[in-house]
Amino acid sequence: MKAILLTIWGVCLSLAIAAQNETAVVLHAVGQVQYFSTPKAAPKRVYPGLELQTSGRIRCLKGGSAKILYQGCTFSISGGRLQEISEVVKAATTSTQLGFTGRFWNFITESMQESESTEKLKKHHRRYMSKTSGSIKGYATTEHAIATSLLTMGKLPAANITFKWRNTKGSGPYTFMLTTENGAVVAHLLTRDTFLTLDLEQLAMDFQGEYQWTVTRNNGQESSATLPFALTSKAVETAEQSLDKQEEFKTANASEQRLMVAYLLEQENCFYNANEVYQNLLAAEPQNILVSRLYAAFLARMDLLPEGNRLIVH
Amino acid sequence: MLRKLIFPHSFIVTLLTFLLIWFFDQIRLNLHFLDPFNKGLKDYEVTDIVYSKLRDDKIELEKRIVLVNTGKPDRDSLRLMLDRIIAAGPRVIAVDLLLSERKDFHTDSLLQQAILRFDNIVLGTRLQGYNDDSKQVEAEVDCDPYFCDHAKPGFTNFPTNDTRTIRIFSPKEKTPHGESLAFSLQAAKLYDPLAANRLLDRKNEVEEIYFFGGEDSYLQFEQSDILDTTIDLKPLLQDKIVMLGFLGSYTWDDPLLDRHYTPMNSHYTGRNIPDMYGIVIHANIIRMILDGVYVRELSYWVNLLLTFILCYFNIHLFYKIHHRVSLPYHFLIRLLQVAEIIALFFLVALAFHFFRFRIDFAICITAMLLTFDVIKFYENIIRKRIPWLDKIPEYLPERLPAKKTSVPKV
Repeated sequence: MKAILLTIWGVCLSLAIAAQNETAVVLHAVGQVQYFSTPKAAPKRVYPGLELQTSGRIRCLKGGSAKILYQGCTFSISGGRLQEISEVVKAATTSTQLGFTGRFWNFITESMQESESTEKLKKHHRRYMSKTSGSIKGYATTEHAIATSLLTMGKLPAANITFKWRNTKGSGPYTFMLTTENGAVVAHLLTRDTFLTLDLEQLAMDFQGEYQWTVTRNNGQESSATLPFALTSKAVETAEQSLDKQEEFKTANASEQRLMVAYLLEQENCFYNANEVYQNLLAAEPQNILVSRLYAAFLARMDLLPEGNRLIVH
Repeated sequence: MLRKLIFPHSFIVTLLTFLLIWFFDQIRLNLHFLDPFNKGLKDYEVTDIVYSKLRDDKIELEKRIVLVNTGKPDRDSLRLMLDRIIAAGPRVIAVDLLLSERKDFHTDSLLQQAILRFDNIVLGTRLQGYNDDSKQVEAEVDCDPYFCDHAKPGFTNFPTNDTRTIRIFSPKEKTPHGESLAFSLQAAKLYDPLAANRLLDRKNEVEEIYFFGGEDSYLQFEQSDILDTTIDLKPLLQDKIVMLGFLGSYTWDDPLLDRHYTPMNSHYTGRNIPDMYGIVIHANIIRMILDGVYVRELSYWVNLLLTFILCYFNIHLFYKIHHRVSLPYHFLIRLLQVAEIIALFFLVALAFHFFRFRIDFAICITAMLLTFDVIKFYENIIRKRIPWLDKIPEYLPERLPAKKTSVPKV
């Protein structure tokens, strides 16, 4: 009897060990991606062909990303948060199982609840900002005198972009700096206003690079957080194309379709494009409560709470 | 038994149908360019649905081939990459980049030295101008002899056709300087000569490409990965085919450079964005050659014979329905025609999916569409005007029983 029990225990133990030691293979990695085989292990650079234990953790820095192959499926990893690989796989599988429509309707329900009142919107904003601050150093904390919006981070279209900020103490002139991830200056401007429009297509930038921008005042005594971004082209068209495959997208009405596009753009970190879609939709249907509430929740997530509140009050 | 399968009128109608198809084929006018819908459909084959929808989504990593995204490299970067890759001991290096002319003497000579250090380097070329009379291309260009003379050239072009979708490749072409091999075949030949010979033994002018998957089936290195000296490339590249080429540079001017439409495109009708880089198509061809996985096709005459038989029995079936059902005859026939075309569509797709067997049922489908109208034409016009046709029986008469002869017993 003891021998049988011991055998069963042995089998269970080896199965558990085998499950923990499952490996994924890195297919492709761009930028700075780090892998930690154990919580206390030194970070290892991620490159194609590297085998990763699913119990290990991974982190993508400065806009880096990686694609891994696990059990015949690929999983994309991005973002500065330290993530356990098994969690990434699980999250991707769950979201795939739920399907786009399921996720979209969850998003609608949550956004409507979060924008029911200014109080709820404020809570939503606070909760989201604490989440966001994990990936951008110093973002949404009080250590920066100049507040910026998340709209001009993530992926920006190669077009005219208006960078906005607000200053809680005093006014300009401000020093606007747009640099590469290595600190090489792309644009360095002095401005009086709290916004600046730049045609990114005219600047010496390319789609492969990672960039960041920051605003300072009073010889750098007051500054904003440093917002990283990359360039993207045809984000809206790509989102529409990808949605075209969804049966629900085809059957949805025009405003629902635009909301789906905005949602997908936000998911892809194309916040600037998403904002434009919401703005156009609101201009076309100013009385549509669904649109204004979803837009308000979006603005709160972009750290534009006053603008979001205004929409709810109206 | 055979007598029971012979129906003279069905046979005549089948012949008429084929005659009509031949006639249409002779006077065919290509009006597709007038119609964007047709243009989309023209770029589509039934088997595309197999690639787009029926395939198993599970990705199998191809371990013999790795891809290196060079972007648009300068020659010095290319040389540095080659140095690192050669040091890792691959079996073949295939450079899907065109070294068209000489640029800077110093960097060019260093690049040449790098190429000279490794025997199994394939350099991409382009074939230019096809002469229909001599059945050979006029020149193999875009690889300066300064580099190409020390490497194995391989042409990177795909045969042109009416559509924009890459489905076929030409294994070899005749040039004024002799025979030239395709880029992928040249690389496969250096890796596994027997596998390459298997392809050449098929003696096909063009081969249909069997697509295993997109770029996710291969390890994709970036230039920075290769040049990073902290990464030990030996276990990753040793004894493999390392393919260098363009897998996206995200530049402003030409983000879709060397990207093509393939049957793997998820939008299998009216495609919008090209879905595969040239280097990935070459990798698929190499994989296909190494594994000996070829798309099988019926010969034209076997195909025609099968179509004839199918059409013949179909006509007989319509006759039978006509004799047994009177009122909803038209409706039934039209319904049957649609059902048959759908069934054929699935048959073609499934034959390709399970057996990589391509059946060209274009004539068959045309025949099925025409059958009913040809029967009506034959019955209402031809048969009424040619009275002797009426003398032909519907079925062949049964053979009369042999007369019993009484043989006197001796």
